[in-house]
Amino acid sequence: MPTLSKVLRELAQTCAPDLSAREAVRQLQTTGADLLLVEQNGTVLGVFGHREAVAVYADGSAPVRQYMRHPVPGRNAADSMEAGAEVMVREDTPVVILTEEEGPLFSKMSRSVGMVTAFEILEEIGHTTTDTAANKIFFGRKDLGLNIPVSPCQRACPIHQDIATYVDYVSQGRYLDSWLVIHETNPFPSILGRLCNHPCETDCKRGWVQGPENAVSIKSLKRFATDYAWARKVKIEYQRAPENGKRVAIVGSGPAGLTAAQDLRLMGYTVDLYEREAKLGGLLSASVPHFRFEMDQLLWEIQMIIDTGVNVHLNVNVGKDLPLQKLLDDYDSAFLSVGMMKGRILPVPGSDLPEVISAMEFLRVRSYDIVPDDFPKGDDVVVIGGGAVATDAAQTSIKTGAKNVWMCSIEPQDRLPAFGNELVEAREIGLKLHTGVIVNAIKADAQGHVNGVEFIRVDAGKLEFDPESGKLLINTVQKVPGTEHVIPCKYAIFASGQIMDFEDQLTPLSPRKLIAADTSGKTTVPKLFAGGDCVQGPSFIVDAVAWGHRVARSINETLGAAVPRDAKPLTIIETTDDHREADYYGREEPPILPAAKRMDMTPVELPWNDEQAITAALRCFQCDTVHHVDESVCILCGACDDVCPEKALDVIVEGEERDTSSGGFVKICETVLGEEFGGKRGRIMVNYDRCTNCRICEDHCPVNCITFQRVRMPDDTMRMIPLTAVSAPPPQVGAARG
Amino acid sequence: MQPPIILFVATATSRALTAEQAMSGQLPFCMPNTSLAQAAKMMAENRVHELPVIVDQRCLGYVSYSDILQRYVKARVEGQAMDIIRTPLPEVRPTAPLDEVVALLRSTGRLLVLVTTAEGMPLGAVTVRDVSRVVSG
Repeated sequence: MPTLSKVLRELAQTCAPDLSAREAVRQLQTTGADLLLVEQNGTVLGVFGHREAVAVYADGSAPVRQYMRHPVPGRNAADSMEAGAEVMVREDTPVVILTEEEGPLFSKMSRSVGMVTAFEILEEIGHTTTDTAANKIFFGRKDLGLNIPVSPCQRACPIHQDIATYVDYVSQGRYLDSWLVIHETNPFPSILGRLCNHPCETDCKRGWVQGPENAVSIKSLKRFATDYAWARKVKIEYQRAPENGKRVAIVGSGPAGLTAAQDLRLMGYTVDLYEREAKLGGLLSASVPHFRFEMDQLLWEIQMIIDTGVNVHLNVNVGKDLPLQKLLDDYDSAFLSVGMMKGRILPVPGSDLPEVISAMEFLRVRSYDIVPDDFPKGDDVVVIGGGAVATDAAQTSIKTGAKNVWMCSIEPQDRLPAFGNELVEAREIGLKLHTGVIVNAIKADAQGHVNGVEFIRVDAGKLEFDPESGKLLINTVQKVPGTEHVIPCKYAIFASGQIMDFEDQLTPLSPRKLIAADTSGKTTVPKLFAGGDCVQGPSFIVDAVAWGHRVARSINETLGAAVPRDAKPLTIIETTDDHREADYYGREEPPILPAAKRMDMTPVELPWNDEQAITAALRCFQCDTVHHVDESVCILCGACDDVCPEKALDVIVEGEERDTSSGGFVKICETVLGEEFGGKRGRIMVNYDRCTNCRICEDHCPVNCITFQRVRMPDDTMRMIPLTAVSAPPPQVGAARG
Repeated sequence: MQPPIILFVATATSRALTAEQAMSGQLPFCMPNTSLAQAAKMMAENRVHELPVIVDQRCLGYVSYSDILQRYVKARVEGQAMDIIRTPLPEVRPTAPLDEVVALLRSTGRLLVLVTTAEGMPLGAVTVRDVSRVVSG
């Protein structure tokens, strides 16, 4: 049984009983001590700590004697730790003076040799008690010297979201915590929870083990946490840095522009956001059809950004209404994030007919809930293209009342650029595919109205695709003469690419007719930055968000005006549950409305319930948590190495021959054993590409020195507040739509 | 140099503080299923005697060091925070004056007061250490 002498510490600083209490508080602060011993003539009269400062706050004029807790209990240093704890509880004093006896047998004297506070005993309890609880959490500015790992999903995500953490929080039922973690880097989780191309899932360790089709449903978990926060009617209030006096103009309010606007506002810049449309959101609100997401949630997320103090200027077309030069004159920096909002119409005969429209324009008009004048309700529509925009335009046409909708593409059916489940969903509501053809002409009747689209077959055997992007190499397309044919229709939609719809003589252009800028957004024009699709070409929403973050950082580096925050970043260290039982669960996708109910613009994807979300989250291996080995306890026995099913661990002991085949290069332990173990030196190395966080090593460690811990630095500038002043009971999240 | 006047000014300023201005920059907390061993370790590392029990942006109560020591004495320390949770932990809004916080600390005998939104979402805590810092000027 451990004795108090094991945790004995030196006697605390002392003060005189007649010292002013306020002076004693000051002494506590300057020394950083937990308490002061009130001493007179070598005798400890009492103890004065921070708790007493509360009474001093009210009236600090009296001396310490009046506020101190007394008497201070004493114990023999040879007494048990339990005895020390018992007296602290009984006397309600978190300190015990330790004594030792000295002198001859019949005239022994006690002398103070030190003291023990509750903290020493608590630390000992934490150190020696077997911990069987599922989830534990530490919160503080501690540096345990852990390797802070980046999980494969986080590496693959363009905005490096802390995926393993927010997924883990969902598995624990901490949905709002999860949502806050998502918002640390992602201002649009409602959209990205539904429409992200999820490169994270492509590089998920669960997918490595069980096949890529079984990756954790990260995207849908993000949506679940966001739905929950939305249902709870909360929003995030950000803590901004002081205003720094610098002004930045942002042109375009798409995901890149809005992200940069938020980041710059939080750094203290004045931000003016110019948008030529009558609403914010860019491609999110003007191109993505409303059946793919919840518009109310997008508006909620945009409002959180605007609430940071962004000045919004709608219906201003920079480049036409307002010259770019004026912005550069008036602001310290300007950021062009104008996207590629104009659809390309191929210059084939008849492409100038009135019933020919680009998919981008068609979707833009429909986003205002307006049906284009020439749209043939009850008649046929042909969509030319095979990508995501074509699928959106085709589905929107069906939902707007077209009778038959054809989607016609050069690529064969198995190589269509449309990804995800969109194509399947579209075909379920009646989309007809016509593949392996290229448009030849738009046909018109005698009155000059569209009455069909002429196609010609391409030689499928000659088609080649880029091995990396999977895109069709257009120079391999060869028409097959004599295969011309016409699909009758009254309306033709071109989804054959997008171009930038922004002109200003100041803008530097690349050979691809995009804005020329480097990866940080810098252009050759002083003070001018650009980013997003207008620099990179058409890409995914999450890529645009990444551009926004990157350019905001770049602008700040250039202007150098942000005032660093005083506070050090917090570090959270938490240990997590093991998820081995999740091997029994398979991947699930959120359900969608039955085809018969998908004929209007109602969002089609249904929410998960709690059980589905938690089950999906439990499948995460939590690749961001790492072994934490207590080096003072480890005996380098090799049990962890022996039981590891993935052979991810090596215990290496100098002078001993042991298997070192893991290929691990992350050192998690380095220790020298005590004399009782021969004083050997050794270390433990881990290969985290093999480790699946199964925790079997933790279970089999005979000295209980291994725990799994996550280290993260959360964004503590965010604070969750109610969305409205009215408090309503939270709706049941996950309830199916009626 | 006139120390008394400086002291008076400092005190007057301190009295004008709100809970939000006085609260700690960090909030150590545990969850209901945090083991008592971990809670003990956290208290020791963060030098606090009471730990709020928070889950999903809601405070359920707190665990006290004396309860952990009591369980230790009885050799029953292998439990979880939910086994010894005490309730309630006093709460104030961020705009509450520090005077009100101190009055709460004194009347309840607690060592911290949670600062929350009107909906009960924790934003931080004013601890006796924070009050001590204010008193020291």
